[in-house]
Amino acid sequence: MTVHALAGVAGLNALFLSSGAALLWAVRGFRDWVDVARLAGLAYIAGVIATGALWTLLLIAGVPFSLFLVLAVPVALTLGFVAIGRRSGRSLPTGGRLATGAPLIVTAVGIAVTGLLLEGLFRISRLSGLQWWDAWAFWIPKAKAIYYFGNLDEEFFTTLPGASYPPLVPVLDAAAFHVMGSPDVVTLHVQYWLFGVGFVWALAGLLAERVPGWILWPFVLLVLVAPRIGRRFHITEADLFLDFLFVLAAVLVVVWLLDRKRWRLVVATLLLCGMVLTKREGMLLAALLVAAALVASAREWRSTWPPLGIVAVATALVAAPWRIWYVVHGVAGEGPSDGGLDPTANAERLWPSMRLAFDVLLSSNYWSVLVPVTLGALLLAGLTRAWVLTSFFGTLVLLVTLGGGWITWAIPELPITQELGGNPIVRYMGSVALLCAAASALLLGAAWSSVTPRAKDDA
Amino acid sequence: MKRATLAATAIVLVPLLAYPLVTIAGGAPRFPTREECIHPPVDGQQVDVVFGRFDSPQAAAGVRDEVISVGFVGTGVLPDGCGRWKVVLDGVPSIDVGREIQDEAQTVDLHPTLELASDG
Repeated sequence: MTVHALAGVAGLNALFLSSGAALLWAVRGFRDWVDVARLAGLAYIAGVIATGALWTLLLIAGVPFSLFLVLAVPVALTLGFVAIGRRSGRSLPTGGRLATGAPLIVTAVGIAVTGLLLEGLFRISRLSGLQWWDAWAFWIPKAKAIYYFGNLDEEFFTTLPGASYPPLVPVLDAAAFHVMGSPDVVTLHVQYWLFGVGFVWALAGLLAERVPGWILWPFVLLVLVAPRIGRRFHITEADLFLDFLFVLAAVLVVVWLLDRKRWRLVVATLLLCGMVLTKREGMLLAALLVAAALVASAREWRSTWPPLGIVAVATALVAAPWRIWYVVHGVAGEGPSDGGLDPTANAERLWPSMRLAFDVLLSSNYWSVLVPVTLGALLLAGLTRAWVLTSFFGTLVLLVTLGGGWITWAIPELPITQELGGNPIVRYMGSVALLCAAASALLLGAAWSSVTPRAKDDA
Repeated sequence: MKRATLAATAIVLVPLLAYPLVTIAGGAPRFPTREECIHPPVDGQQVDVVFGRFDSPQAAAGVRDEVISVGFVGTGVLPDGCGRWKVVLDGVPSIDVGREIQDEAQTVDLHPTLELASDG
């Protein structure tokens, strides 16, 4: 780990932040500097995805991946979004007032404790070795191939394990290698830690709009201390990165169902596009998220289903180029070999597969108390008639869990086990567990606002 | 600046600055030595029987083949996380079983060591 490598990573992430902040300013605008600070995490993640998705699509189209491209794309995006914002009449943020009294102190304590935990996680990230099988077997080799060859080397990419996995994460890794000056796989863990910091900041910033601090921060901390979440922030694989995008997209979509602010759907669409370029499970999770939104907004389908349809079409269009690339290059598809839709096939595996998914969902060894707390929060929010939130999160948790069962059921080669090397179910179910943290905060926030007149006025 | 704002600023900044400063005051960060990659076995936990560490996977594979040829089936080559490759029979359930394997190995002039099993 050299100063050069760390400085390169810092510079690249500053570019991610600038492109994402410009994007948010163009589609939403900022009230004041407090607003900017609150949404800086979301801006960073949006910048990572906008930049990374464009790099990925250019790479698939055959544009050589070079240091010039690494720097030019985020700079061009920043300038482009600033130009759009100016044409839309956006004004620059000015001033800003913090909350006062107890809420301010609660927020300060939450930020301090969260920050300390993240600093502790940085100590793991700064000198971590490449010890996880998927990371050294194909994620990092793919990144090194992009770094060295500047393209999707056909022979290499079609023969590695996980050949059909989309290349967004290796592209982000390769970009980091370019700014570090070498394929420094130790310093790369700092990049993943920064993704984790961005996610935590984005989640807290989004939830803070609707959830009081005393409800919000315990869930942020729970994310960091849950055994299979916070302690894996530095791991150079795509699982947690995909979960970050899924959870932020879910929060943006469900809050859009409540307030219909269009910028939320624009940013959610970007994150969904990131999901389908990250892992093959991203397609499934994106589809289930849209399905849950359709269910939760069924009573107002005339106004909600058309925009959600546009979101689905845009996501599918972004997913298509990579699927075309691997089909053209003879790589086997992403789904089960027989399509996975015949209910009579592998019937004896159906119940054990579903049971496996629910066992993993309810395991406190993986997710601490996140899932039981969410079940309680769903009940409370249901009792206080927060129907949209309850139906959205209830449907989504159920669908994603059933999706996990479906993966095991429909791919007979997968043993019915929680063993990490045999079945991806534990990795996959991390998406539900992380979703539960956001869901619990929003559900409890809604329940609280319904029983406290002052909170109701604020909501 | 109001008193509450000052207090909130202090609540955030003091621990966030103090923690790295205290950490750095304890000395500059350092890499572990290669010896620190080797952890002694612990009662009640699985152990690895290690037949040696090598700088290249080819050298390790050669020793692995010799170890297997004298009967220690299941022995493999794994990276040790510190830049070397270890020839290891993993998944041994206890220290006692590991010692039995060591005794058996010494009859064919092999001298493996016992280590705490590494995470999969």
